[in-house]
Amino acid sequence: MNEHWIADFKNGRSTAFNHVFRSFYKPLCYFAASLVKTEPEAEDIVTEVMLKLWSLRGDFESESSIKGFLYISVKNACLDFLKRASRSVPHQKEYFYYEELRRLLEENNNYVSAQMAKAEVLQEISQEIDRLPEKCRAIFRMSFLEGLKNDDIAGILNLSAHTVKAQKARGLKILRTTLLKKRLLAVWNIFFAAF
Amino acid sequence: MERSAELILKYLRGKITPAEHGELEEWLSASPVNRQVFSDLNNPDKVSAALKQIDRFKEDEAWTGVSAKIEGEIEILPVHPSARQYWFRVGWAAALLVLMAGSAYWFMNRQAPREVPRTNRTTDVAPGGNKAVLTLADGTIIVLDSAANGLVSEQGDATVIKLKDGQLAYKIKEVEDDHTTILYNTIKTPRGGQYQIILPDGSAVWLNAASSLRFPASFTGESRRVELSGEAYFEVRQNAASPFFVQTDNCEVQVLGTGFNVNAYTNEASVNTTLIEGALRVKTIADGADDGVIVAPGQQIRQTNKVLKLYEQVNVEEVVAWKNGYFSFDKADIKTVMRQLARWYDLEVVYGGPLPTRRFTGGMQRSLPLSAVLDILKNNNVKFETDGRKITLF
Repeated sequence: MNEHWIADFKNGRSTAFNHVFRSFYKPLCYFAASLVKTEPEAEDIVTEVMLKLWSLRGDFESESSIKGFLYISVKNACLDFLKRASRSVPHQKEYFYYEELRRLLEENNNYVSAQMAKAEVLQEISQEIDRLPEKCRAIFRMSFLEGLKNDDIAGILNLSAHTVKAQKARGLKILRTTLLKKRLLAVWNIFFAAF
Repeated sequence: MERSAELILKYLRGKITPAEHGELEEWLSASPVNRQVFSDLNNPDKVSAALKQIDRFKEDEAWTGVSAKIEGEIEILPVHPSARQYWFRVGWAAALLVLMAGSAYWFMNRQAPREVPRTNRTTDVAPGGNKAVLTLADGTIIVLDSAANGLVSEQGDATVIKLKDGQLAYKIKEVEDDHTTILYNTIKTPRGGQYQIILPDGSAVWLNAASSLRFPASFTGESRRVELSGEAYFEVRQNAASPFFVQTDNCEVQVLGTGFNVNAYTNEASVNTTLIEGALRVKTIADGADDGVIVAPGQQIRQTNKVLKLYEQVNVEEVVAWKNGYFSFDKADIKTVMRQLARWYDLEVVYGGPLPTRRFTGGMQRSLPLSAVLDILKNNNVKFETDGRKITLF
């Protein structure tokens, strides 16, 4: 995506909107799900917010203003959802569930902002991993996200175990300079060595 | 961004200042929830589990719905030369020829010749949509567009369910007895159709127009094999114990990873397999003993006859644009453009003279009606005449 994408987005180019969508949709769903607890509802809420973003596209000047709008709108939409859900099904089991959730979130402002912070950090981590060089990223994901052992990865990709280890180390090194603390890195090394 | 998120990221990057560290500690001591979040983000197991959960959300489906809703609002703007092209751009000039469009029309119809309307827009043609036909093992044919949501059929160990418009899923029931015979089903899209299917192992396949996929109703045994003609995008569930194979006429793709696109239309020059995520091994079926070629993300294998060629740094976005609801062209010639349009809008394309030599770069949504597409072609100096679904270039 080139540097002009914000201008393109404001002007209504749908490929620029697609870029925003791909960057934010999944982490926002994670955030929404942490509040409303059901994944399909979370996805509906985020989709609605995305459409709202699009309808206001002329108002945004930067990625961070888009990000701020998205997270806050999702938070408000989740709270609205819980309010409506708890009102619309009184005297039923679900009422108590939604009512409890709603109360938890309203009384504990902290919980919502903590979940938002968590989703934002995870979004950054996820984007860091996506920016790894291709082979490195593939091996990294197989190992870290899919839990495959070094030997399995080596067999699947027809590489030596040595190459797999080297690519993993490369990935860790790149992530370290952008993301990981030394202590966390040490823990991850143990984590990987165990496989 | 939340201030606490900023601080946590600085901490993880090892770039936090003492003052910021103090701020972070204040935030941590403010609430046990904050401490829990911080601890989770420093725990690789928890981070890994969270990233997996994030990955599960269905972005592509959501985007399809969103892009359909906003489609009416997209503005057509002139292209600025330096920016990435979203619309067609003329490469260089081409020669023009006048064509007799009427005579071909008269040959096709036995009626008395009548005046062929020479306007370029008589009735508008709708774009393609979610259309497909499912053929069961016993030959029963089910038209999926009009099938109701819910249970479509049972095939051996699997139940076939239409989840919603455009999406079919195979779910495995409890197996009562041992091995039953393998039941093959085929899903086929017409020109102007597309469909998504979730295979019995949970792998997802998006089928483009004029394509078909043949697959067993349940995967048993040491490998998972499907046969493809046309074009499909695959997201395969990892299972080292049972490798996934995609077979086209002459070519076999062994899946070692997750996301890839196979373009095996017979009227394209080569069978192109493009990898987005994971790894693939591609080999021609003719060479039995050959180990084939390993493909890494961003690479593409093109197979013509028995020859496999590996291309690096392919424009992946262009290859999978169709799945995301777009046409995308990167210096494509007019025939390539028209072939894709023909499949999606179910057109008959006739070339009335020497082909324009210009190349096209840009994109547009697949949800546009044909009239909008024709406007774009006109704006790019492509001369043509239309008659319903027949378009003649000259």
